[in-house]
Amino acid sequence: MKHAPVPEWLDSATRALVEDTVALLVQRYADILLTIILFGSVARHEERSLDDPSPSDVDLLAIFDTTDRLVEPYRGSIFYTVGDACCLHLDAPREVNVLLSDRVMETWDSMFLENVTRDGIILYAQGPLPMPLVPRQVLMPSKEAK
Amino acid sequence: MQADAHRHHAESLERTVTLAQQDPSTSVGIIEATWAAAYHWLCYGCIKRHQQHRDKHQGLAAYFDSLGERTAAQWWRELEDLRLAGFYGNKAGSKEVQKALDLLARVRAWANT
Repeated sequence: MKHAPVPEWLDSATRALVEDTVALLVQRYADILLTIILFGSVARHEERSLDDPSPSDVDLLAIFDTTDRLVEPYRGSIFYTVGDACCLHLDAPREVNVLLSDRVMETWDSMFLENVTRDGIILYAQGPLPMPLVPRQVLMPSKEAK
Repeated sequence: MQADAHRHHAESLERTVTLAQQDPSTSVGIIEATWAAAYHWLCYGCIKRHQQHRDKHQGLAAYFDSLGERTAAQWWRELEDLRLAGFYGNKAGSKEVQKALDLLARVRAWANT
């Protein structure tokens, strides 16, 4: 996983939508927002093009400093904030999906976590990544690394 | 699809949800059916309120935002979050199911007022 800006292979309108989605979430939830990660086909640059009948969506994983799986009581207002960003960019040709997670992440499938850890692009982070997203080689350095 | 067809689909899917609730191990399926029922209620309500609707779920939240239906858009984004989480292997439990059912009840009430 790497820190990087919103990928340049996205069209400008969708890129602006992603940037404003991240900016508004950071602005309004700075005290509980731990990280926002772009994952999935767009992060891997394997997205279906805009010429496709069903272009790929942009998938974001937003992790909050809570143990509540549904991120209550913030959940409703978080999604309203996502809508605020959307209203600024109604011309964006790709949809931006935001998945919410608590910091423990114990209900997530291990393969999903591996994929996010391998391919994800960190668009925002405050402090260290939640433990389930720390690459295994960082937790258990190889003998050669020692 | 016409408004009444969307309502019939929504009601049929709600009966599926009711049947599935007898087996808690079907939580991911319950959320999928709840999401689908909510989609048809949103189409039905949109036709009644705006004499138009979107016959696919992609881009639906932005479509509702563009119509000024911000709360309906928020409900749909919440349901999408629950469904996509299941799609990516998140283990949905009773809390997620209850949340989905609460959202469906709100969408149904919106569509019928």
